[in-house]
Amino acid sequence: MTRYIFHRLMALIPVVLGVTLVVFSLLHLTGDPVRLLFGLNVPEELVQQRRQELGLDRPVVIQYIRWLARAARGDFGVSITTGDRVAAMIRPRIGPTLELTVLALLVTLAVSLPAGVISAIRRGTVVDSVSRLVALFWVSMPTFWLGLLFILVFGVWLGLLPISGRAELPWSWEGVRTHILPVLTLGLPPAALFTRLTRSSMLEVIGEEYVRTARSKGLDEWSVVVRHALRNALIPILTLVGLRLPWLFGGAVITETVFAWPGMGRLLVDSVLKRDYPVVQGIVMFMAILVVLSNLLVDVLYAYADPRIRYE
Amino acid sequence: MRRLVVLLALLGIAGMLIPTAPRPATAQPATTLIQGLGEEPENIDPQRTNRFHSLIVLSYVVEPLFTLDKDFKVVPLLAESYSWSADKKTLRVVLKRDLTFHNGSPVTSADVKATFERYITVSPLSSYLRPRTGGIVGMDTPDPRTIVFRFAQPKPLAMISDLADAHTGILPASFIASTPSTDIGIRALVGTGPFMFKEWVPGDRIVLERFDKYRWGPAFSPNRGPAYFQRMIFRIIPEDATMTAEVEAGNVDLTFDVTPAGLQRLRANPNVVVMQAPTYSVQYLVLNMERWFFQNAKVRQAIAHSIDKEAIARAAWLGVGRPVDGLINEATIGYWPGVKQYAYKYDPERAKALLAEAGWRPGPDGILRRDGDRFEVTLITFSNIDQWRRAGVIVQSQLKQVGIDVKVETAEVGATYDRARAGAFDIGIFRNTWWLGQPYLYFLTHSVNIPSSNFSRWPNSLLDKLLETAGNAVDDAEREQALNRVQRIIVESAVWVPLVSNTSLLAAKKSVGGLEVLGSHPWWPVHLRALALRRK
Repeated sequence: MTRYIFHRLMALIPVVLGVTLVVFSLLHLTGDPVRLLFGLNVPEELVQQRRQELGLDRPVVIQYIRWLARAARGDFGVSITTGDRVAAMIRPRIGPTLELTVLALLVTLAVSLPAGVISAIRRGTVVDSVSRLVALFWVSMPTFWLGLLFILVFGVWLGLLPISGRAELPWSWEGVRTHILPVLTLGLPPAALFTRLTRSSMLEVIGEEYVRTARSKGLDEWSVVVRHALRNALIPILTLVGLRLPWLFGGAVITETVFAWPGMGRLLVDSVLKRDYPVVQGIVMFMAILVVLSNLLVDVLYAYADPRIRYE
Repeated sequence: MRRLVVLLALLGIAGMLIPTAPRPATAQPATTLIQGLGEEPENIDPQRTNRFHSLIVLSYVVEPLFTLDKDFKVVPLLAESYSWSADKKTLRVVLKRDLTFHNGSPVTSADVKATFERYITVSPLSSYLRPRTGGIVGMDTPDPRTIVFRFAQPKPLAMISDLADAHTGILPASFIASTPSTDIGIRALVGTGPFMFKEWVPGDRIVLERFDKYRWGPAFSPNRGPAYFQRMIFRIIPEDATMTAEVEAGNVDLTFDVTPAGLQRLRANPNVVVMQAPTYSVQYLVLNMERWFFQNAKVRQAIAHSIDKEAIARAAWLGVGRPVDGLINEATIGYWPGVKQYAYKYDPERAKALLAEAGWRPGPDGILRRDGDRFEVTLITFSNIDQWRRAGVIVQSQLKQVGIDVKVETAEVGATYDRARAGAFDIGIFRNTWWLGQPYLYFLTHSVNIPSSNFSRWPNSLLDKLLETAGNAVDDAEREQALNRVQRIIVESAVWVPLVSNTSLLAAKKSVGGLEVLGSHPWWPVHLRALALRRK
């Protein structure tokens, strides 16, 4: 197991190299950060001078290699727009984004597991049909629009919840309230997909011999469904969690913009728009590492869900 | 047990939904003013930035030596008095007594000197005063309250263009010396303004605290200090619809970031006050004079006559723009109202007649032809700004009416300017914003700025000479005369066709007092925002 994890961690290196190279090339193809920063009213010589200071007058390949060499030593450079250190800019943004994505994932699972299980055991009843309809509704809802709808209904019309921003103390009462709308916006749409998957996965195992055995042993329904059926139905669900994680970060970019949430996604959007290469590179690298690590975590969890799975 | 957990969870959720009185995301005392910012400043360093959203915040914290009253007259702020030498090469400024920085140290001429040294080194806006352009060659500090600026060439506009601009906001010399330049305006900022920089939570908010010792507000402010509000919070809300919702819900007291779409909603809200004021931003159309068909003045005049600026203001700007006659408008210093009589009025019939006189005849498809050439041109403008993209389409349909076939090609701002510089276009619709007429017109129309910012590619020695006189003449009246003539030549040439100026918008909660004082000044200066606003 340890060896397996070590090998997987080694695989991080090509992933990060590939992702940063692609991002670096794309950004360089699409615009000049110094022009964007200064606007039109600034004399050309000043623009050239700043480009030189930042090393932007060099060939793109050289720029990438220089960035890589510094990054390997833990120096991610300084932002072109703010002049601040990239690491210092990203650090305060990590917490809010992790909060949002982890809570959203919990919401997704908390809604979809029970809904999927109930749909499966009450297959073909009204409960099942309603759950299917509701799932269809959520799955066709764009994050952006859902967020604005939540803001309008719960923030403006009913005045029940804060509209945007993250409270000074995130775990205070007010802090908890500011989390509700963004977490639901990010967590509810994927719940639809998970519900359908849980349902079909459960339907498969419910017909199995061991479930009938469990029932005939006289176990109560809860034990049969949760301990015997659901546990065996978990593998495909875990796989989907792994696959959805990059989506979750992607969704966070939009959710954070709509809800003025001070996370990494917003910083990423701002930096892309300003062609602030060092910041974009830093965030993309960090997110790539997060995605790879969480996929690894999912793979390790397989072994716990199904003890027959061994990694050598 | 399980039921108990479920019950508790349900109670918790219900509790979260219990409405409380309308409140911001974080509860604040009534003496806090919450402003909504649509874009996060990259920093609030007066010398390093040239961005609008940085200026909004930093001008509460730092102050220049002078400021402008509602008639664009320079009035003292940190300065008490000033005197020019006859050749306009030496400017002596005396500071007010008892000025202190937020850190408690007194303001001296050494601080002014250190600030201007930093300004002419790092600011992207300091070209007028840089030594290379005949600007500052020396600064003397004969006593702690007197600073003498020495220029290589006459710099008659120095006070209005630089010394009254927040980008020359005075910082303590010791602060400049002891703070890494990239920390200034990000982790720390010390000035003399009515508010002190307290905290910046990236992506979320910037918090300013009242400076209780502040007493030196400009004479046009009814309250000269300290401010009524104890705290100013700038909440960063990048999404337009969210900003509108926050204002509607009463969580944001005041914002300048209102979009035309949000404006309709906010106007309909009885708890919100919406104010509009002219801006010096001008959307204009320019012809590439390297094209043979534009070299005939009648063709250019025909184009100017074919454009219905009202329609652009209505349909492209959704009612927040108004047509302009000159390449600078009345919110710009140096504007000459006389330019009106030279502007070409919307008159498609006249346009058709002029084109016919120039030898262009309609072909079978309705498009004009001359000697076998079909009149087809390419118009470039910004794809990522609605008001420009839409203006492009409107101009396209208006020129079609007189028989000119326009192909609209849009790209994002940087790419569009690159194309304009390369001369790869026939007609361009661009914008510019500068509050000072002479440098702005110099920038857009002087031949030294071909092709970097004068996209007409039309060298005109008379225009060049007048622009130089308007900037350098020692005599005020001579400069004014020259600038008036410049404005007339630009409009008459029809190489540039001014289109629309937008109005700046402000939305505020009804409970914010002092808005009428703010509205009495044409551009809502920061000192009125800081000192006149209060909770009703």
